[in-house]
Amino acid sequence: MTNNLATDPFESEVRAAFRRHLATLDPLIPTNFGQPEIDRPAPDRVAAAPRVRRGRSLRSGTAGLGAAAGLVLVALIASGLLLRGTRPAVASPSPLVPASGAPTGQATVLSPRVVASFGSDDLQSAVLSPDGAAYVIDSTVSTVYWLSLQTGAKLPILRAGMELAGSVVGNPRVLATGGQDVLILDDANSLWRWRPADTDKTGRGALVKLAIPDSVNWGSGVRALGTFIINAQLGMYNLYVVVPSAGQILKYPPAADGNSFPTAGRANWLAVSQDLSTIDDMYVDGHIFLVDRGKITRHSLGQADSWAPALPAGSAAEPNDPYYTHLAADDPSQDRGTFYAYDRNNKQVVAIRKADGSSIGTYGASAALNDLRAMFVVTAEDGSASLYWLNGGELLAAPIRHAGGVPTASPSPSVGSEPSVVASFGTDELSQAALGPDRASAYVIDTTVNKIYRVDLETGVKVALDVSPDNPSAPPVGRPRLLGSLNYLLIVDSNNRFWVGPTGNRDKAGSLSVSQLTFDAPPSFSWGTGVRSVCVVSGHPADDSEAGAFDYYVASPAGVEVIKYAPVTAGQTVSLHMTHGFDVNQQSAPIDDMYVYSQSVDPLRSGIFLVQGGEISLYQSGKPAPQWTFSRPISSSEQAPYYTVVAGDDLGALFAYDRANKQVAVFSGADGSYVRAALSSPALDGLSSMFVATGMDQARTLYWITGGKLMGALISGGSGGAP
Amino acid sequence: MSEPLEVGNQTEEFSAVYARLHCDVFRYCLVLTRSVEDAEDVAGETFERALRAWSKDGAPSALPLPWLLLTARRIAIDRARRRRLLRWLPLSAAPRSTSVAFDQDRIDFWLWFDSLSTALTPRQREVLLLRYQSDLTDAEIGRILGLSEPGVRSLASRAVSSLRQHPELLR
Repeated sequence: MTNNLATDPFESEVRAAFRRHLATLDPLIPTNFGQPEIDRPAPDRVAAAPRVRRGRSLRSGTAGLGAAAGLVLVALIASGLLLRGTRPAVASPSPLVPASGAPTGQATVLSPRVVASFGSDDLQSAVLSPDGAAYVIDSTVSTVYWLSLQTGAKLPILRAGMELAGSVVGNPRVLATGGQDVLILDDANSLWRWRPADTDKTGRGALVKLAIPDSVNWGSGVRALGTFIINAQLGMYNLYVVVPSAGQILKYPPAADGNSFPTAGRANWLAVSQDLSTIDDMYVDGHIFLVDRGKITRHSLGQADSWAPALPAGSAAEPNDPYYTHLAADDPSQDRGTFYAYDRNNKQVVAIRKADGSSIGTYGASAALNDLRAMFVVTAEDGSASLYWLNGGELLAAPIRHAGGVPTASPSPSVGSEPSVVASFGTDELSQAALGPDRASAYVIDTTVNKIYRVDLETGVKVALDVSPDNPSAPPVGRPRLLGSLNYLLIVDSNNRFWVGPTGNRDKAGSLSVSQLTFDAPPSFSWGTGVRSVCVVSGHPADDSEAGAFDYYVASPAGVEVIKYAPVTAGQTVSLHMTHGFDVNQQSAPIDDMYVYSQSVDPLRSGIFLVQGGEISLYQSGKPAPQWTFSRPISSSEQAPYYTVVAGDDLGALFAYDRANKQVAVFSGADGSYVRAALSSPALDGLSSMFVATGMDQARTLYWITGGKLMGALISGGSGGAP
Repeated sequence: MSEPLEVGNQTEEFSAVYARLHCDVFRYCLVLTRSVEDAEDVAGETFERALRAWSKDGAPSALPLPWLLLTARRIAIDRARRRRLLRWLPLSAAPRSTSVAFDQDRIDFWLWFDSLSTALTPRQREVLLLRYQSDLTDAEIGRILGLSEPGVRSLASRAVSSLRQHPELLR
C-alpha cells in the first residue's frame, strides 16, 4: 500500500505542499540525462565536441525560440522603463488653492491639501506604487501602510514582529518600487516584496520575503534602494543597494524566477568605491543620480559625469545655495522629464530638466515644506502632475505646473525602437559579444576580468563562465579574445588557441568545458598579436562527414589576410587544415571586422564581407567584387559614414555600424544596396561589437555592447534574399 | 576505460526502469547533496551500480525505486564523509564547492525546505520527503532510512502533527 491515498485533508495538504515545492527543482533535472553509456567506446577528445551534420538548419532543434524571441522583443520594446515613478492613472487631486504661475526667479507658491494624517510625526519614507497607491513607513509603530491617494484610507501591510514563512519582520527602513512590486527593507536587511493584487484598489496583496543570500553583509547603514526594469513583461528588475560599508552601489540581477537576487550576479556598480555614508537619496533611470551632502550627481557606467543641476534663479549667493536631500521624477525614462528636488536650505522644491540639468522653476509652500521626509510625483492621464510629500505626520499633495508644461528632452529620435539595456557589467571593457547557439542567450567577453559571461537575453541575468579544458592534458585556456558561435561556442584565446564547447545546462550553472581544436601545421604567418576576427560557417555539401561540419574563416593578426581552415580527419583525430588564403590589402588598411553568412555554401565564392578603413567591401574568389557599393545617401547635417563593425541576420541583410553618425545602416546582402537606417541613437556611441537575433516571425533585434552594457533594440525588417 | 558491460536481456528492462525513475532518483539526490553536479554524479553512480548489480543478480524482487534511493543515499553519505575527511588533510585536493548558481536559482525551495526545520527534525523531514515525493510505503521508507515500519509511521505522524501547528510552512 502506498501513502498517496491519505484520507486526512491536512495530510493531503502536506503532500500537495511537498509536491509543489519539489516541482520547482524539476527544471534542474538534466534533459540530456540520457541512457548511461553501456558498451559504446568513449569518444575521443575532438569528436566529443558538439557537431551537427551538414545541412542542418540554424533553427532546427530550437522549437521554443520563436516564443523566446517574441518575449525578448516585447520585453525590449517595453524595457528601459523604470519602476520608481511609474505612471499610474490617478486623477490629480483638487487643489484647495490653485497654484499660481510665477516669473522666473520667484518660487511658485504651492497650496497643498492633506491627503492623510498619521498619528505620528515620524513618517520616514513614501513611494508611489504602480497600482496608484502610496506606501508609507510610520517608524513610530514600525509599520508600512498602504494608502489610497483618492480617499486617504490606509491599511497596514507590514508590521515589525510579524512572522512570515518562518521569518520575523524587522523594523521597516527603506522603501522602493520595482515593476509591480513594492520593496521594503527592514533593519535586519531582509527584503520584503509586497505585490498588490491585480485590479484591486482596496489594499490587498501578497507579502513574501525575497532571498538575497548576502544581504547580511550590507551592515546596518543601507542608505537607499533602487530598481531598473530589465524585462517589463515579466516584471523583472535589477536591484541597486547603496551600501556604505562597502563603499559601493551593489547591483543584483534577479534570478530567473524573479524571487531572489543571487549573489553570483552581484556586481559593484561604481567603478571606484567611495564614501556613501551621507547619501540621502538615489534615483535610477539608466543613469544613477545620487543626492549626497546637498548635491545631486549623475553617474554613468559607474562614474560621475559632468551633469549637474543649474542653480535655481535667486540662489546665486550664500546662504541661498540649495542643499538637496530628496529627488523625484515625473518620467521614469532616461533623459526625459523633470526632476523635483527638495532644497532643505530654502524649504522649496526645485524643478530640474533631467536631460541637461537646467532649472525650470521652484515651488514653495511655507511651513508645509519645512520637514519634507519623502516625495513622489503623480502624473495623471491628462498630463497634469501633482507633487506628494511627507511633512511631519501628514501626506500632502499639490498640483504643479511650470511654464511650457512638462518638458521632455529626449535623445535623437531613433528609427527603430528605443534602445534598452539588456545587461550591465561593472566595467567598460567589454570586447565582444556573440549570439549563443540557443539563440536566446548572448556570450560577452569582459576583458577587465578576462571572463566570458553568458547573458540570458530574455531576463538579462548573466553568469560568469568558468571555462576549462575537458582534457586534463590540454593546455589551460588563455584569456578569451574572440567568440564565434554556431551550434556551439568557439573561443579564441590570447594564445591563439581555438576552443569549442557545448552550451546548455552546464554553462547556465557557470561552467563550460571546452575541447581544443588543433592545427595540423603551424600557420604560415605570425600570430603573435592575435587574430582580428573569426567566423564559423556551417559545413560544405561535398563533405558528409562529421568532421566536415564547420569551416573557420580567420582574419590574420596583421589584418591583411583571410584564411580558411577546414577540419580534416586522420584516424581518430581531427585537426584544422588551412585550405585557402587570400590577400586583402587592396584597401591599404587592416581588417576591422569580418562577416560571413553562417549558412553560406561557399563563402569564398559567394562572398566575405570585410570592414577596412571605414569602408565595407565584399570579397569574392579572393578579390573585391566591383559592383558592390555599400554607400548610403547622407544629408547635409551628417558626416561621411565610417563603418567599423558589420553583422548579418538569417534573412540576408547586412547591418553596419557607422561610427561617425552613431547609426546602424542596413544593406542588402544580395547586391550591397542601401536599404535604410536601422537605428540611430546616441546609445550606439562606442559600439565595439554587435549581432542580430532573428525571431521565428522574422522580427530582428540588434544587440550591441558599448561601455559596460549589452544593449538591445528592436529593428523591424531588413531586405534581400540569401547571399 | 572500464570493460563494456554484458547486460544481455537485462538491458531493455533496465532502460525502462531508468526512463521511469531517473527523475525521482535525481530529485532525491538533489535534496541530499544540494548541488546539481553532485546530484548528477550520485545519480549516475547509482544507476551504474544498479546496472552492474542487476545484470549480475537480476533486478530486485521488490520495486526498484527503494533500491535505487537506498543506494543513492549511501553514495551521497559516502561522498559527504570523504569530503569531510579531505578537509582535514593538509594541502588537500578537496573538491571546491559547486553549483552556487544552482542553489540560488532555486533558493525558494531551499528556504522553504530549511524553514521546515523549525517544526521538523531532519529525519522527519526526510520521511515526509520520501513519503510524498515518490509515494513510498512506510516499509520501503524504513528500508531506505534503516528504520522499522512502525518507526517510520511514528515519525511521519509526529511530523504531520508538528506541521499542524505551523500551517504557514505549507504555503
